[in-house]
Amino acid sequence: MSMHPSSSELEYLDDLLIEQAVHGLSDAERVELDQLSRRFKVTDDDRFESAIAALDLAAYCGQRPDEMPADLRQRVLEDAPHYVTAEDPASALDSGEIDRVVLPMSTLQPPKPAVWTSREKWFGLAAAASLLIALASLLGLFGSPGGYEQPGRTIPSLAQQYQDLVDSEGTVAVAWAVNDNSGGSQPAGNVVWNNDRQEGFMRLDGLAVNDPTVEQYQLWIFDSARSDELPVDGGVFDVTSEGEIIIPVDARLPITEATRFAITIEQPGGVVKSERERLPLLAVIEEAAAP
Amino acid sequence: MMTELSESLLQRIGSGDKSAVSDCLDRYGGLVWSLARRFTSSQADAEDAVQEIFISLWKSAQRFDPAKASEVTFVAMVARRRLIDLNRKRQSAAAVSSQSLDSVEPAALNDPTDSVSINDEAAQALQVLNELPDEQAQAIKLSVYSGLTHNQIAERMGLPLGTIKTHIRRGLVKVRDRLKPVIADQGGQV
Repeated sequence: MSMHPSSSELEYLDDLLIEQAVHGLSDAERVELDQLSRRFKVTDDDRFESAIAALDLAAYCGQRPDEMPADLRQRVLEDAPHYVTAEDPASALDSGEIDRVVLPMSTLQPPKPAVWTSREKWFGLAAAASLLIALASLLGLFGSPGGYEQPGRTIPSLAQQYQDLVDSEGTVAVAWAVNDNSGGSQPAGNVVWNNDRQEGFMRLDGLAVNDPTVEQYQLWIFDSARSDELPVDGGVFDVTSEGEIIIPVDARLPITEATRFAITIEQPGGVVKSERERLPLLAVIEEAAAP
Repeated sequence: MMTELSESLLQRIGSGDKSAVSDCLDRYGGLVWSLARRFTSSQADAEDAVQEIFISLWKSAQRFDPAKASEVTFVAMVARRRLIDLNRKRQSAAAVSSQSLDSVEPAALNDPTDSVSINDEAAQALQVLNELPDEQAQAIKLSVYSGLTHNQIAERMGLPLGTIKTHIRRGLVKVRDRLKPVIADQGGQV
């Protein structure tokens, strides 16, 4: 396989780095990130984490922070001497405290000389404060919990989104076939996929409710451009209620031409490569499988 | 009051200077406490999280590089990282509490020099967010501040999942790329 990443692979790498910084990664995603990092000889960086930390700080723009409880402060103070030591920096790496920062090749740039300036402390404070006040006033960023809603806009339900995709040109739909009914259920439904939009939905009716702390469902997308041994992860999901549900497909890599979809039952968080020991549903796309 | 010092507290702590611990708590205790409250659902969880965050900070202080990020940004980064880990351990990975949005509403802006965010990186990040197309900015806010998953954001905004991913990626790449010269210009100071 080529060592030169495609743009879609780099985008996926960035997606993983962002997800790591915002929500954290599942074990399966972490393995994927490690594999991509090794494959593309990615070097350490934490710039997405820095960017999101800066956004976190911006959330407190002009806001006086809450005061830490005095007894908590005391406990932290008492803990500190156990950890504040003049140890070798390498040991911090060994400790696993900071062990997961990688940089996609797309962001690697030749080193530039740092621009060091010496600014007066209060001048800097005043300038930054003024900028923050101005920005906060302009943005009204955190004006209300419902501020993210766009007034007057109707947000389509998953069912509407599903129907919209079904009605779109180029969408294929294929019914699920029961592959393993050892659970005793006879689930039905279909999967719709639009290659141009790289978007799809699963409609499932009767698939057994799972306990996500024990096992989860995982969708796999077989792509004509890839080996059948390595289908693309289509996302981990749960069935939380009986009856019909609609789940968006979450393809982790671009799909060239989907040929089959399979749902397996895996450990919580999913897996990178399925042993396919429990594969309750399968959907095979045949030619002209228009909805 | 938050002040900028020529000598980094974390660098002092990294070299084993225990006297810097109290100063570090004075400077960043409120920020870490506020972040912990935002990410947890109870006072007890928040207190546990704060202790864990500061332990992580003490352990990683030697790796603080002022050329890469300001000290306060590094603290916020370590805090979020630890809070994510703790939340995942509690099997609530996206568990920014439901009151998160309330908790990040701005207070009165009457004394900004007391704020935790007197920091060019935060200002620049906010400015980039303001410059982004509405849908990109909205997707980022829902992800970073509200803790929604991509699927939840897609449902809420009524956009395809792939579009949401693209919005978030493109927006955060812009924030990330904007911050680099800011950090250099600060000369690595807090």
